[in-house]
Order: sequence, then C-alpha cells, then structure tokens
Amino acid sequence: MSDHVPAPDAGVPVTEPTPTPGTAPDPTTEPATAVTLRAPAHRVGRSAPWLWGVGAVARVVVLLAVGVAVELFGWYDVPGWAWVLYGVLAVAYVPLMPLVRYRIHRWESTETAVYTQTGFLSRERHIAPMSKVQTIDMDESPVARLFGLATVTVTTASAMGSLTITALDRAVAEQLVSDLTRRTEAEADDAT
Amino acid sequence: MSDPETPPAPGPATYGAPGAPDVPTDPTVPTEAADPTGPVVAVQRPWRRLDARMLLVHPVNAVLSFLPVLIGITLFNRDGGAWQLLAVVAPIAYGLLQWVTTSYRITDTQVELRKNLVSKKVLTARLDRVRSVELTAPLLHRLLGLSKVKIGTGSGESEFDLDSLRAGEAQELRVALLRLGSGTVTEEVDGQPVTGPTPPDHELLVLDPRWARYAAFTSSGAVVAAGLIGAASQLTEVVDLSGSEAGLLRWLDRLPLGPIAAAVVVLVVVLAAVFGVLGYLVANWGFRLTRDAGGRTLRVRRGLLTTTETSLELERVRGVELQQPLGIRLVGAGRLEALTVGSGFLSGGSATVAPYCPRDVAVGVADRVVGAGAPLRAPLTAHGPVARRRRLVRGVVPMLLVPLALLSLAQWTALPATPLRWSALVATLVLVPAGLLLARDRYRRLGHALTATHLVTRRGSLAGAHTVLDLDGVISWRVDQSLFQRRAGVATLVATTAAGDGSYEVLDVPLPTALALAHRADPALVGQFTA
Repeated sequence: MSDHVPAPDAGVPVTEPTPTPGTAPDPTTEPATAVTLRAPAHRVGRSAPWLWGVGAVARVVVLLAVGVAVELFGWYDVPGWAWVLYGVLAVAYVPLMPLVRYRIHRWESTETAVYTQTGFLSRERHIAPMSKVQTIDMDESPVARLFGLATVTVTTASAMGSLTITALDRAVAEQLVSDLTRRTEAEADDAT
Repeated sequence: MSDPETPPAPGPATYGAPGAPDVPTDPTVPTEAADPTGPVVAVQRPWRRLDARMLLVHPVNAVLSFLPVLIGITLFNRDGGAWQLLAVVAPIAYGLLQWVTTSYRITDTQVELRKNLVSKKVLTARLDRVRSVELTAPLLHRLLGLSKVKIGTGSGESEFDLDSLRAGEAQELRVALLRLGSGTVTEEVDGQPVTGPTPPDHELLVLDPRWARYAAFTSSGAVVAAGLIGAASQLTEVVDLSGSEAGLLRWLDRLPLGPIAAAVVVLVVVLAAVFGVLGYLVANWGFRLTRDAGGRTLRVRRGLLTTTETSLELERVRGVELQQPLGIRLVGAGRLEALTVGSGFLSGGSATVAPYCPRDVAVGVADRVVGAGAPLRAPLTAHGPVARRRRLVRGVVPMLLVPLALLSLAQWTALPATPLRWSALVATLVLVPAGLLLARDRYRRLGHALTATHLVTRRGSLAGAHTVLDLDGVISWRVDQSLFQRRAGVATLVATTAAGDGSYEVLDVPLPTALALAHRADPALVGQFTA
C-alpha cells in the first residue's frame, strides 16, 4: 500500500454516513465525461481466418464423428431434424466464425501499454501497463506454423491479467516480442 | 557451507576444509568474529539444529499419521510380531532421521535451511525479501513450548518451514526477519544477534467471544452436522442393538415420513449451528489483530488448540474485502479479509484480519488497515435498470428449470403424472418468488465507487462481498461484454490484481460508465486509447 497513513484511533467519529446493511446504493449519476474506447490499431495476421477455419472444421468433424458413433452403436436415436440443424449450423459456422473473429481480434502496443481486443460472440478489451509485465512468450503450434502465424502471450503477476494475441504474422510477432522486451526493461518496477 | 556472498572472516574456522561435509557442531561455540581493523564482513554463523524437543514430536506425529496402518496391522495380523514392531519403529526412526539431518542458520543477509534426509536440499530466503512470517503451534508443540516457523517471501512462496524452534526463539526470529526491532544489535546470544527491546504493538482488534453466535448463521457447521447424522444412521445399521434401543428404532421406523423428515431437518440445523459456534471458538479463540509500532506489519494471533500467529507486511496488502454471506448479513455481521500478494505468478491469497463480528467493528478495522480515506464507507453508485433486468432474468429463469424438468418427466416417462404435475406447480409457486427476491437483493447489492486511491465494488447476495482494491495493486483493466450485454449496452469492468482472487468485477454497468471508471482510475494508461 503506498503512502500508508495509520488511521486515527477508535473514538474519532467517521464523517461519511455508514450505509446500513440491506439498503440499495444511491443512484447518483456519473460525471459527464463521455469516454469511448477506440479499438486497437492493428489486426492480426492475414492468414488468421484460415487458421481459425481449420480449427472450426476440426471441431465440426469431431462433433459429427461423435454423432455418427452414437447412431452406429445405437446408444441414442438421433432424430433426422437434428442432423439437418447441425448441418446448417456447421455450414454457417465454419466460414463465418473466422471472418467475424478476424474483424474483432485486434492488438496494439505503445511505449507504456499493451491493448488487445478479442472475442467472437462476446467482446473483451484488455489494457495492461508495461510496468506490470512479467514475461513475454511467443509460441507457434504446428498448424499455426503452416500459415506462418504465431501467438504472443504477455503475463503479469495476476493469472487473470495476462494478454494473449493469437494468429499474428510470425515476423510481426517477433518484432512485437523484441519491442515489448525492450519496453518492459525500461519500465520495470515491482510488477505486483 | 559458507555464504557465497561474503568471504570467510580471518581466524580459525569452525568448519572443516572446504569441500568436506559440514557437521553441525556445538552451537554455543562462538564463531570467528569480524576483524576489527579490516573491512566489515558478515560473521559466519553456525548451523543449528532444530529444537531437541522435536525428538519427541516427530515420532509421535509419525505414529499418529501411521495409525490407520498400525491399527490395521495389529487388528488383522496378530501373529505378525516382527511386522508390528517394524510398523512402530519405522516412523519413529524416520522422525529421528529428520531431526538429525535438518539444520538452519541465519546470517546477516539470509536464512538458510538445510535438509539432508534423502537428497541434500538447501533453501535460502533473503532477509530483505521476507514479507510474512507464520508461527504455528499445534497442541503437542504448545505443550512442549515449541513453535513452527513458516517464512514467506514477496514473490515465490518458498517452502521455508522450520519445524520447530523454541517459542521464544521463534518470536525473536520473527522480529529479526521483519525488522520490527529497534534495528541496533545490542548483544549476541548463542551466535544470534539480539536487537533491543521491541516497541509495543498497536492493537486493532481483540476477539469478543460473544461473536461466536454469528457463526451459527453460516453453513460451516452444516457439513459436520450432516456427516454426523449420516454416520449415526450408518452406525445403527452396523451395530447390533438390543432391548430398548432396538425398540426405539422400530418405533421410529413406523412414524410417517413427513414428521421424521421435518425433525431431521431441524436436527441438522441445530447441530449445524452448534458446530459452527464450536468451530468458530476453536479457530478464533484469543484472536488479536495488531499493527507494529512502525506501522509496517500486521499480526494476527488466533487459535484454541493450534495457535497460529501470522505476521504480514502491509506492503503485501492490496486491499480488503468485507465478506457477508446472506445469513451473516441479515444479522448485521461480517468478516474482513486482507487481500495479499502471495506466491509468484499465481494469484495471491487473503488473510482474515477480522473473524465474524458486528459489521461496524469490521468496517472500523478496515479503516485502520487500509489507511486514510475509509473507502469501505464510500457511498456506492447503483448499476442501473439494465443490471436490474439482467439480475431478474437470471434469477427467475433457472428457477423454472425444476418445474420444467418435473413436467417433462410427467410427459415422457412412465412415472405417475399427476403427483409430478402437482409438484411442478408447488415448485413454481415456491421457487419463482424466491428467485425474484434473490434477484432483487442481488441487484441492490451491486454497487461501485472510486476514491482517490481505491476501487470499491460490491456484489453478491448469498456470498456477499464488498471489496476495496488499492489502485496501485491493479495490474490490468478489462472491459468484457457478452452478446447479451452488448445488445443491452452494458459491460463488466474487471480489475486484475495479484492479490486475493486475482480479479474483481464491476458487474453490468452501462458501457460509458465502465469506460469512465477505468479512465478515472488510470488516466495515463486508459487515456492512450480513448477516442
């Protein structure tokens, strides 16, 4: 805790009113500073939709195999309409998900911060300061390597506070890693 | 084993030639003193064994932990005389070996622990990195006047356990590690520097045993009670009863189900309350929260059978959380936890600084732990109508699952339909209003505030938490929106931290509010990316 000032001893009355348990908080309005967060500047690698498409196809096929196995072994009688529905969803999911993802996944790195936006149906925006970064990792799965892509992971002292940028072009990823390393060395503090 | 950072002082060395195995010698022999004319060098301290009374404790503990095996062997292996002897001797020998092969020492810069049992292990903790010291004394240790010492460094909780030292020594070690003393070395006793008398601690909270009644409103005793009742019913089946007990059981068997079920529920509730209170007293007897005179360390002492004393540098504390489960909240009580930075890369933990006590007391303690600003008292801002709508939907819809399940059972299985349909109706009439009430309470609990130094967020009804997080302790900010949140225009602001749970959320606030909050909390960081 910074600037820790010991609080006054007991007996000094506290000026703010103590909210009694069970009451709802006051619906005061926030000060009118309309802040909007712009999206991060850079997109991920150009071949990212292909990588994600491969993943989507794999998942669809696995699920299909499970359904087929269930039918073949007679564990459960899958109704006809379920197959049709699954087919429709799969045909929609495989091409659309990578494109939607490509539109949403973005990243940006400044001298003092890293900013990412990820998600498919949901949207998560994550900002971390360089001073709190602990490690920077780059890894490439075999499939990602086929497309010339890599993943950069920035970890902090908090397990929930790490940022992952998937499907970057390999050259971009390498440049990013060296940039981040340089910047964290410049900004290092206790990092907790 | 010489400290690699300091050259050995001139004079006769206590140890053998370099490279020869060190044998801990008589710990009272003073080691070579620093050369008064030369440069100041660290004094080579001797390796010391842990207290000799552990020779009693280790075997007893080892026998206790092997007790099931021993019982098994003695009961079922009556003619295996040799095996019996081995089963008793082996744990005792193991305990003795542990004592003989463990040694420790404290130098000017670090504490070292050496274990030679199977593989040679040397653990080192730098004195200036020590952030917490925990002294634990289970019953046997207390009887012998011993205390276990566990040392935690700020990043990376090493398993630095000294099991154990004499109680007085452990206290002195604690003072030395956390540098609570006056800092000037006044004398040397047994090769250890002893600093001047420690200034007295500043007391923040002392247990009032009447607070134990709050524990009756938690569910902590319920598990024990249910287990006990289950075990008792099992016992009646196994044990051969005769006479009046058997007659009583037969009479009980003949009673209708309703009263019996009701009686069992009442019994569970009463037993749960009793065990909750007992558990509270055993865990918190003698609870004292103090802060050292320098204002740098918090110290919590508690325990009836096993006494635990945790000392925690305030530097590791990143906030506090007032925990109020539903029952506790209804009776106006709460528990205060300090959110601490713990082990390395994983999220830290929390330390209880106030057990269940009246809410005002807990808030008072929070004021004194957190410092200026009293953020726990800050008025909270409500989260708006969208949050209320979302809570209502999430409160009522899951409650409809039970009647739906019952109705589908009635529809598609061979079970009797009418009782199922009636149960579905009853379930709806009971669960839906309950869900509504819970949802309403959940909404009213939602709130947030931002002071100059802290983020305050409150949520939860069944497991209510009101969290104050130091803005310096926030590592990164996240703004999350699920599909439904995006359509409704709300978001969840998440502040991640190394302390406590790892992240704390401001749930379902309008998106502009979430962004404004993040911006006000850290304009330099968030301001870079605002449009």
